[in-house]
Amino acid sequence: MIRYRIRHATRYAYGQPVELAHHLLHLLPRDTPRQRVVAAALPCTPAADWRDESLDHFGNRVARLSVQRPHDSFAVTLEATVEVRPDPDPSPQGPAWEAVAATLARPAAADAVRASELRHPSPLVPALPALAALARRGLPAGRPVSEAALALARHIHATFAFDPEATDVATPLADVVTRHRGVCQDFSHVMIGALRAAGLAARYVSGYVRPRGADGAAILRGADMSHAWVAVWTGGGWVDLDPTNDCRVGADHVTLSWGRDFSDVSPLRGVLLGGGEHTLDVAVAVEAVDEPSA
Amino acid sequence: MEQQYPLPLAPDVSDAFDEMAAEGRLRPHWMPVFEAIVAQPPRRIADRLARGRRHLTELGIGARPDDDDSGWALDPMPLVLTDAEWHGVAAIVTGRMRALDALLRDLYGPMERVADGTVPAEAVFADPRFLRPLRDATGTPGRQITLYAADLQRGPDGAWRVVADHTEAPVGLGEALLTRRVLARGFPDLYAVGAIVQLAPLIADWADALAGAGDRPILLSPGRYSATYLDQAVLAHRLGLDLLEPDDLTIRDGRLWVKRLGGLTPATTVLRRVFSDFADPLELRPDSLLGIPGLAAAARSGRVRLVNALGSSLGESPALARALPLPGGGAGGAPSLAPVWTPDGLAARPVTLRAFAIAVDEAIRVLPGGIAWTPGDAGERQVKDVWVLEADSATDDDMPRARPAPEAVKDAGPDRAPDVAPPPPVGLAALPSRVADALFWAGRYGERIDLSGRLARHALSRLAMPPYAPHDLADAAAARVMLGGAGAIEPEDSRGPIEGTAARTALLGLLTGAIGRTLASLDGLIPATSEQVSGDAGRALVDLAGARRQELREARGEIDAALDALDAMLDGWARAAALLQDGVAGNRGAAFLALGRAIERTIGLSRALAAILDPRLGRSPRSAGVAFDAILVLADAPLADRRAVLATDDAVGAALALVLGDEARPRGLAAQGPALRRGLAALAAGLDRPTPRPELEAVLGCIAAAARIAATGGPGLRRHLGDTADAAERLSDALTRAYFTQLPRARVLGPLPSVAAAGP
Repeated sequence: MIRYRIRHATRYAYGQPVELAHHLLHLLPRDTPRQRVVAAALPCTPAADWRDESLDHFGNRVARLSVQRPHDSFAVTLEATVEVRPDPDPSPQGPAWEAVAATLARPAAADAVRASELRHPSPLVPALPALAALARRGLPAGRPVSEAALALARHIHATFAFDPEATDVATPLADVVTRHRGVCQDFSHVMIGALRAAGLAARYVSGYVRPRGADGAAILRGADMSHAWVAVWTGGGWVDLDPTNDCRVGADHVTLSWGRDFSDVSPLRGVLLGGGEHTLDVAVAVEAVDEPSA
Repeated sequence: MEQQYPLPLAPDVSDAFDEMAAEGRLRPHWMPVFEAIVAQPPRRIADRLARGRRHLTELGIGARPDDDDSGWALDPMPLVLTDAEWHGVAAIVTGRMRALDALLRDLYGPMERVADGTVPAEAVFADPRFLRPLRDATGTPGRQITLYAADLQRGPDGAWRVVADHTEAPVGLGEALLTRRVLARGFPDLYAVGAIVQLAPLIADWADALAGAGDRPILLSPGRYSATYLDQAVLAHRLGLDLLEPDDLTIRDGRLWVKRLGGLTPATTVLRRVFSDFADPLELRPDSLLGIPGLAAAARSGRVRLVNALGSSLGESPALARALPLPGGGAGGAPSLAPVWTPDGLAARPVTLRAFAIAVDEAIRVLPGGIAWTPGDAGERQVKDVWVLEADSATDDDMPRARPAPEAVKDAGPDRAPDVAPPPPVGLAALPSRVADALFWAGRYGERIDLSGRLARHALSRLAMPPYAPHDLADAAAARVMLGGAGAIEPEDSRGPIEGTAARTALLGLLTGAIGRTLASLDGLIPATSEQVSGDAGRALVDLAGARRQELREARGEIDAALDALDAMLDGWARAAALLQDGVAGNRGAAFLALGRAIERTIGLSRALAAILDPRLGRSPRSAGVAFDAILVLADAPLADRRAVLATDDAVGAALALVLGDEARPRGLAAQGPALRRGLAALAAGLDRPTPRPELEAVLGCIAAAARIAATGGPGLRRHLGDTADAAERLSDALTRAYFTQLPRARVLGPLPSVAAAGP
């Protein structure tokens, strides 16, 4: 196992005092078949007057923090230690993706029923003709899902430019598809939309990626930030792929939460009373500790 | 589609079921109604409908200026159902409510029915009404549907079928109660003919059950501009609920609280009329202005019990209804025909029935009645009462009257209200802050239109008929300058020649401009105040903000019509103010109304007079010595005062001294000091919190100084008047901070992009 220490600090500074703030955080990592959460905490300043944690519809950990007295700033930090299995998922030679899509259209087994939720359009990933066209170009016919999806990820990586200036969180997916540029959230939404257009079930995964690949050389995009990628249902389980970095998700990625799209797992949401303008500082540090020597 | 019912009965021309007749004969249970209605001349029926409708305004709840209640077409002819017929309806409604509640409990909990294929996955997962944040993935939620309504039609075979389920926030229960009342009032003899099962017992039992949770239960309304506000107001009234809006509520410590003048009080039971997806901008639609941030979490934890639960609209999905074995399903054929009263006799029209079921504690009970409607001539709905006739036999155990032991606590979760709840506040402390705010602003807006209305009338009356005397022109100009000072017209419009078209246009523009807008703002406050003011005062406000505003709109092009409309408006406010003075109890916030009036008078007077004392005015009205009439208008001074002022050497100075210095004149500045002091003393007595004393003292000091200077004719009066207005504005702000805005409006801190400052 590779042990990661993660520190994700967020700080809001408000122009005027905030009287009451409710925050909703998808910021605690979950256990997955690939990872085990050793410790995770969300200390904040000022201290929360009320705090609650529960599991959401997708099984993610959700924290709610309320600050109920006037404050000029709010800082919350994820401090987590997570162990990740170093080997990538085995590549199952499952049924062809067309067969999986047919299963999802009329799901019978409980796991297929649950997975079928992720084949429908969602708030930030509407059905678009351009996504269907992308699926036709990017998904090779007759191949197992994981292999076909990796080809699609490669196609997106090759035809979309990584450009932090091109989009922001409010940019509609239709614009991303038209402009062929964006960031990890956009790459992921594009790939999810194309997979769903093909009748497959795809979910949005939020998390982190380490700054260096396991080989010690490649600098992965998305390090020092929140990151996002895609998981696709293969008929037997979920396989995670990172279209921004054109790779399968392995030892370099740590998962926080998943959902239909970003709107289900936005790391921080809040409603403020008062506050005026605000500024935001975010710092993410993902550090491998106790790593077996390569 | 339409069949006439002349006597003898028309031959059957369609295969639709006929509610009133079978095989060409009147069905016996319709006989009394038929005779009572048909026996009376049409004219008399129309009179009685009008009489019943009066009940609406007497309640004060139907009295909304924009509420054209003529659109609420009432049909005196009820839909009459026998006990046996009703039994069939009740069985369908009960069965569906039970089944849909069980379905929602599963879908917002374990989702076993999706996993085992009982319910098609797509019907849940692809439906935007499935609100994922409301799902409890680790348990089974409590009751989801407490109030249910079904729309039913009877097919040619005589069986009832459901054409729509209402599980989200069923509308029409209040309307059903109101329809019964209005018609029973208009047609007392008709309502005496049959043994009609009463609606009140079930409503009373439900009110008890809702109140049983301990806190005052509330009805959460999207506000008066909701299309179904009347229905909500009636329901709140009959169930004894506080009719509140989202801004009245806040979440703290994961619980729901009402913002009252005395502080926050807990709320655990909410009859919800705000749609689910708008109910919480934190977890649901972030663009909602009608939400209460944190409500979804409070509801999921059981600390708040919502009627109905958030997310209940999923129960209205036809795809889900098809997947369940629900009673009353299937295709129906042509709906049954019911008799409708028209001035030309009875007509037969297709009828739809809305029936209601309520979970009182855990027993599902069906309202013995409801509303029914038929399409009117212009496509509108004609609403009728629904009568259920008592069974001949004395025992009717179809609807259990006995209430089982309360189980609400079970639904409410482990840690709801603390065991030792503080006693609910009473009197002024219990008043919702928003209501106090509305009374305060009703006072301010009322005095604002009063001042600008009187000045506008004064100016326009001087310009009504040429040729103009120099005195008239100077007087009109002075009034216009003061209107500019008071902010009613733009400063640039308050200068320049007074005789021209531009001046006239600016003055007439006031009617739809500043005055019309202020009346519109006043109109917006009426619903918040309606619970606290007497019926007469409420009607006077409605009349002022409605009919009088309409007159101003229609009169704006012409001076004589404008003068008439201004007269009527000023009378309207005088009447409303007098009725409000007597019609708002002290523990209902009378002090806020009085403070609003005194503050507005202070500000308006001071700013208007400061404007006229502006030395930059080319021809100083004071030096011209002719503008005292316009100044006297501010204090509404009678002719005797005018003569006294004219008798002095300095008429303008005397007029100023009168308006500023005489405490005995209620509209004068000096009288506002004692009024403010009395208002704050009433708040100090009724509420356990400090009053804004320093701000009050500042205003009192300014008022005294202005009176002194006016009396002695000393310098600096204009500056002092400006200071007075500023101090009064600060007092208004201080009152707002202290009493009204315990919390400002919420705003969403947008989803933080996974792309933070820069990067993926």
